[in-house]
Amino acid sequence: MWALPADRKFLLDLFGRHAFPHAAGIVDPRQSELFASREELVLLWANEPPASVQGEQLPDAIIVRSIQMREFIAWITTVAGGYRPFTAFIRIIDQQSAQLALEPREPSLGKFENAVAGLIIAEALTLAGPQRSIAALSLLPCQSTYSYSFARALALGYVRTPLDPIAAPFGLARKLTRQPARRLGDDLLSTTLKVVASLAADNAVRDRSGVPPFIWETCLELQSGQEVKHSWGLLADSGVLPQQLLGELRGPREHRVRVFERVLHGPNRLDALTSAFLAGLLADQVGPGSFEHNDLLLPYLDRYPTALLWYGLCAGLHPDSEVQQVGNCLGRRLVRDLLMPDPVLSHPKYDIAVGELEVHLDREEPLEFRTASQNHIVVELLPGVPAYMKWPITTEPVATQSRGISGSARQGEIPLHTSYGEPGYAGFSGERQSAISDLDRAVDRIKQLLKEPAQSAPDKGDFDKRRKKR
Amino acid sequence: MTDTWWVKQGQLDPEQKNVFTLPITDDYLVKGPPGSGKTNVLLLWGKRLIGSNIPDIVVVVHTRTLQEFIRSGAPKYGIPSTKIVTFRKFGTDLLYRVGAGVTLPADFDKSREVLVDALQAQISAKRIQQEYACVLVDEAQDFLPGEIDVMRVLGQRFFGVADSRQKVYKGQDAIKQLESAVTTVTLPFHYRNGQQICIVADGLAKIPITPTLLETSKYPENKLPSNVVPLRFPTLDEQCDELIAQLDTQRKAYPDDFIGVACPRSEDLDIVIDRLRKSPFAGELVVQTSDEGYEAFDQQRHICMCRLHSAKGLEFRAFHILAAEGLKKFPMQRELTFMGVTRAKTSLCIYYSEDLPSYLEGALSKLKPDAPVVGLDALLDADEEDDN
Repeated sequence: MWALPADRKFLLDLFGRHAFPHAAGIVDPRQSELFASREELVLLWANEPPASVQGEQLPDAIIVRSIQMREFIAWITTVAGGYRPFTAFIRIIDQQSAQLALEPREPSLGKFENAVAGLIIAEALTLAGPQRSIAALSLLPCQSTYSYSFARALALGYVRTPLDPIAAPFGLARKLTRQPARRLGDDLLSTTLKVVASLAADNAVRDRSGVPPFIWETCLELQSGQEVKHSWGLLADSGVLPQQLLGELRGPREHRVRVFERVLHGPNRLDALTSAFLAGLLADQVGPGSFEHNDLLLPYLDRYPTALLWYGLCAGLHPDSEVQQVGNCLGRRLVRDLLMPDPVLSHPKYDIAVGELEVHLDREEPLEFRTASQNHIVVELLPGVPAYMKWPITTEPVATQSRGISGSARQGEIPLHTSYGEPGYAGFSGERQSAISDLDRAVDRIKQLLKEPAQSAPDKGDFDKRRKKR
Repeated sequence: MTDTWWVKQGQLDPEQKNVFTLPITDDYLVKGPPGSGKTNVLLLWGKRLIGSNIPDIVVVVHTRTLQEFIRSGAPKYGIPSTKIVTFRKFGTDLLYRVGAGVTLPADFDKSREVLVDALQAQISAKRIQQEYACVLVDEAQDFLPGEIDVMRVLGQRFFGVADSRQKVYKGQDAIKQLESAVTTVTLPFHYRNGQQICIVADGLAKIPITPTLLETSKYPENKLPSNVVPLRFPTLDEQCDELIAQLDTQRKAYPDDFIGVACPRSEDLDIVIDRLRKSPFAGELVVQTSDEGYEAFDQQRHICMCRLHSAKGLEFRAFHILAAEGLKKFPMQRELTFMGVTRAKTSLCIYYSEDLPSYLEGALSKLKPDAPVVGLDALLDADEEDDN
């Protein structure tokens, strides 16, 4: 890596090829104090740029002070209009996250690959509506989940404190792109994600606040490959569930299904969070780690909106979990993508960074820019952490998050079968209308062409005449 | 059904792998208990031949249901499903090809004799000879010696798989004769049947056979605890009520697996089919009967219904035998019962309204070996006049 403290004028000169980094004193930051400079910007290159004005001189990333971030983006997108979105070509990083992002670190989920895969698939299924089926689930709806973005942040090492690092940028990106209300709002997802983050964290920094002991202890038991025993005792001792149910959960699967139904149909003395977890846990205990009993939970999702999430997590925590194999290895594919290396100093892979998105869209007349797909946008929340969202949005934004999954604003979520490059989602009436108009125009043009004698049914004589003309 | 077809290297055990160290230029018989992977080995052998540019092979089975079952898995091995045929189809097609069509009598046993005689006649006349590079035979124990002879002549090579304990059709056993003529390989372990099912199956042996199925089982009992339930009801209709309740639970417990429903007698099966067609499971049935024809297996319909004889060679996560007292009507009923019991991988339900055959009662009693001996007090009614 190479670095150069610089001001805006120098950056402009670089774009205009009127300057080159070596003349200005480019340094190897491993041997220099990178952030001590008084300059407004630090320009970064992955490899040493050429020592002359010939060749590519543009930096791979620019570090900006957090307080100046928005103003800088507004400026650079104005002066470097040939690079729009600018962050599709060069990353702009704030100083706070630069240290973290620049650490040489391979993405890793450690022992939690199955757990996050289970969580992501479960969230996608929960959002998928009545026709939920893993077989029908494609990659994109999974990538568009909050869990996916969170898992990517976890893999890249951004989740180091109890604070969720993607909560703010994810919310901002959704607001800017006018996504409809999420059926699984932050309040519903947060405990599940907190459990994942805490399990993955070192003992010293584990944050278990708000996580009931039963949930925490159960997850620890599942993760260590033990039978759910000690944690069950926490419920049995308090008289909420009889101890002998545990024995039935060790019997044939038919017995386990009956226990599941008996408990979920019976009177409930537990709080909503623990109830949802228990539902997910009991479904998992029918075939521990198999992730093939999600259908059991579907009738209860209105009552326990996060039950599937807990099911996915429980199924993924088993050491011999089969989560990655379900849905024709959908989970394995997700894990592959989550662990894809994406060094900060490589070319950005996503459509736009959330900071630039704000600059373009947070105005009365949003600036237009190109995305890789006509159906969705991939916003970079943090370096290497994407959020997939439906795009462009034609529906009215919904300001508040719904608390359950029975919220009415469903049309904005990415449907089950969606794959890259599909021509459009149901509900995109504007796009559909535009496509129909294009088609009408094409039909008119073909009709017109057919009327022209030279174009109609060419025969050998026509070609001969043309050849003679030449 | 999800683990029925083994096509990956890691899924074969050392004994199964050893089969594939043998040269393809010899004749073989692979023996093993139910669930030992014989059919998988057979299909992998077929895949090996096709991969070795020997495409003119045929896989011969005894029943139409087994044909449909294997056809559902054959493409995973790169074997065209049309290469899986019953012996009847195999024989009549060859005869038709040389203009020697034959009309087979309705009687099953008689028709087998007529077909073999017709084929032997054409072989003797040298009108049909080695028609295939290899004839592969599943459930070879069910073929008559004459049928095996014909198949050995019609293939340059022979590859059969068999288990004499599963012979359910009367007639001379061809296996001993075959063993003396070809290289025999034995697969010692099986993977299909849970412990409870092994106990019942072992209990069906006239004389103890060692090693037992229980001893040679590599079934993952911890992961999928097995279960055998005998269920007595006054009528077949009530058996059906219970069946429907069981299916409701089992479709949830084993959502991706096949479930089998069978009766020994056709007339009982017709009643059960009728009931299930009026149940919520109507859309999930694959019905295999000679009256209604044989449907292709598919992954959307999870409940297979057939006569117990037709379940031969098949396997199900859960298997239901209704009107089980009907077993008593058949010759070789003990072997038929053994074959039926070993169709179940994890769960077996046996429904009956009249007394079961004694050997089955005895086998089921093995599930509770530690039941206390009933004392005299329990044998006699309480004396109501004690106080007087």
